[in-house]
Amino acid sequence: MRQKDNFSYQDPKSARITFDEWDDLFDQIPDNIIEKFCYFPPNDATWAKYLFPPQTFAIYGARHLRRLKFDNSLAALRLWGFVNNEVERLFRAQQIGKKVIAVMGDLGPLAIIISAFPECVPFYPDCWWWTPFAMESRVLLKTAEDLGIPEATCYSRAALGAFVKHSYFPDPDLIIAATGASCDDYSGVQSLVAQLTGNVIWVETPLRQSDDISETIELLVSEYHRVIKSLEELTGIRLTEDLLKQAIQRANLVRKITARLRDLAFTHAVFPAVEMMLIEFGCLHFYSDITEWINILHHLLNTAEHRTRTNQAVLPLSSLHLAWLTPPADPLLLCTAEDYGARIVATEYVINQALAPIENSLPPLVAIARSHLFGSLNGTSAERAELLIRQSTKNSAEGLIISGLLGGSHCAMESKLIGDIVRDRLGLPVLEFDVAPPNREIDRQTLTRIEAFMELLRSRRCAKS
Amino acid sequence: MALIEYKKIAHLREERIAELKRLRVTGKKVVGYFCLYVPVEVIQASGAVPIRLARGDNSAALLGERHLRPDACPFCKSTLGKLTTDPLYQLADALVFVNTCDMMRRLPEVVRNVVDIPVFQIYLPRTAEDFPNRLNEFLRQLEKMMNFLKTLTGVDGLPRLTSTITEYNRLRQALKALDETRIQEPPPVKGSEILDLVLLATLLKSEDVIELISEKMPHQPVNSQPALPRVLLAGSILTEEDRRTITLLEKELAIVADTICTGTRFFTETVEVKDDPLIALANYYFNLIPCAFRRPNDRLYDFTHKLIAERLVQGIIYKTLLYCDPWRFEVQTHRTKLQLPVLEIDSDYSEKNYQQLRTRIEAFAEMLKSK
Repeated sequence: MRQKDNFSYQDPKSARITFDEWDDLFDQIPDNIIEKFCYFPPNDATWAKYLFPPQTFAIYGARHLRRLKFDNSLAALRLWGFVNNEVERLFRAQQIGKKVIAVMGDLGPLAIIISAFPECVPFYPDCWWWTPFAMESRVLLKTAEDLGIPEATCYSRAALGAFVKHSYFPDPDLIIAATGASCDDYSGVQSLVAQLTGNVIWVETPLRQSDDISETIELLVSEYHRVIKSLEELTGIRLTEDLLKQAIQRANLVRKITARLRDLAFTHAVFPAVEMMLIEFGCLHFYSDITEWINILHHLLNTAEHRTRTNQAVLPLSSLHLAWLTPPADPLLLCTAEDYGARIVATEYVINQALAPIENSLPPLVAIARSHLFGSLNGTSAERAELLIRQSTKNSAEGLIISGLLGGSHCAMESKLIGDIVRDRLGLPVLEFDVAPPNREIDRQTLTRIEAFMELLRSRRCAKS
Repeated sequence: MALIEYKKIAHLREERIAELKRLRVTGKKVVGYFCLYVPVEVIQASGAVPIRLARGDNSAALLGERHLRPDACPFCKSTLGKLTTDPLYQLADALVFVNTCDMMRRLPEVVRNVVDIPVFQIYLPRTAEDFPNRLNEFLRQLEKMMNFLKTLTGVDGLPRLTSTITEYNRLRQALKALDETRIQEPPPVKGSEILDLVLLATLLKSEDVIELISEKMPHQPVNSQPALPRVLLAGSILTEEDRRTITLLEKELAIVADTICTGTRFFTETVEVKDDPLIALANYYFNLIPCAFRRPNDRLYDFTHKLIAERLVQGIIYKTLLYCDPWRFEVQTHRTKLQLPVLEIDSDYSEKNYQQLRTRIEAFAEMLKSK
């Protein structure tokens, strides 16, 4: 799994640094390294470079970066550059003749099938849900509201706004919308996108029921066959089993490295929470370029292992140990929790299905279907709670934060249930709050609640010791 | 003059509850269900009494907030409250759910913490195109449901399924015939009466409802109300307690059509049995005029268009439950696709906005009259 880095640059001692500090640090990175990193590799075209300091992306609209704290490694800079460059990458993909495929709502498996087609680039409009926060702008949300989406719904409605604006990603060559065991908010977004574009393939994502799942797998496989047929028609390429197996292999590599990174982050605090959230979300769609994403993950892993060997935790290991349920659309919340003396040691970001390895011994589509079916959203809330309980126990979590969304369908139904299960089973204090709309800073009420929660955890730790 | 006095409807409900209590003493099982997509025929053929639990009020919803966040669906919250307080709900020996919307899908898990009775959840594919594997999966769900009910009642429902389907088809046809009189001007049957009858049809024995309808079937207009603006009612589930809002609407408007699951969508189509009755049911329920949550839901709009054209609808009353995403997301589409004025009413079962609502309805009616 390990790939040797060959960079003539040595990371400073690990630390969380500010936006301005990254500007200063960036000056020390040699030009030959800056020019080395290109998307859609192998490729050394000038347009394909993406290593820039956060300042560059802030100028282009990601204003929230100015308020975040970042890991100071070259690997993390590469991660941020790559993530922030996705918009440009998608437009470029279409310009150079690739097919850009929007995958909505399936949270993992379809992107693998699409990436098996050599010239197809899958991306998740769902992931534009944090764009309003990154940009400190409600434009996308307002646009979605103008099309009829109520205000009290998941921030994933930003995806609809992005479709309307035509400037966040190119008009996709194909849109695949998965619905079924998913939230109502996003299903509604998909329905409006379908009306807007008139070009959507609907895919069923079934519930995971406790009895025999073989027929459910069969259903999913038949859904995948329809998707494949459409992609074959679109690209003129016939999907072979070999191509599919290679795609699975690549996805498994992503998942394997991610799992290792999570393990090191949770046990040795090798990366801060925001970077780790970005890494987890990479398992969904590889930020529209799986080859370079794998390179970045190798780079991150090398950094993480080096830090582990040299005891360079980016946060004090003695920080309060937190479990976190549901990814906060506002990354500043994760930074804030760390600023208040915590670190994240367990996550259930609703994408756990994209973290588990896909079985190699099964026919490829069956294996993908199985991984799909075991998704966090396909099962029960109790199963999501179990995921948290296992991680929390292993990594000695001391409290659980549930960041919800007002009006988000599964938050409304699940948050209390999961919180109660974790509280009852592990005796952990639980803090639940809704992520407030995009703003320059976290609202005072939420800050006070986080601060008070940390105080509580600290006093519990003192009482125990 | 009302087709059936509301007092009589209330009396029939009370009588039925008393009858169900007696039946339970004799060992008969009562199965509560929550959604139009539950094949009632299977419940009845399996020897149980199906009752649709379609009540919702604010006090029950507040009780439900012990288990759910305040921003959960009011119907789900109310259901949780009613399971421990409402005599009708407490008659249920088992509950059947469908994973319609996300909130209803997750409700059984919470219900299991509230009451200790068997719960079954049907997984209905949310995608509405009837591809063979989707239909097969739904058929498998109905087979599982049949086994669940057999365990509950000890009765194999299959032998009686065809006759039960016929019985329900008769019920639907009777309701449909009555509903179609609403095409007249003025409509001889009020929208509220159709809603009352559908709710009765999901509580009483089918033959009793058919008899009631045939007794009351208007052969000539009986509502000598002045010509009111003709509206279609759309949106989330309407419960018995929503009657107050409907009555308020009918002071100013004639509800000549609806696309509500506790209204017209219950009886618009009948089950066609060719060979296997369970396959027929699977086909029927899978392909019902879709609730807004299904994807794509174009057929819902085709159906609405047809009603609008046939019944000379002038405006739409769009009544949703607060946080009911599947229906609330469709408001704008109703406006743009149907090109009619829409009055949107969002409710959490609280009646605090009653006077404001009255004003809005009056203003909407005025606007329709002036067009």
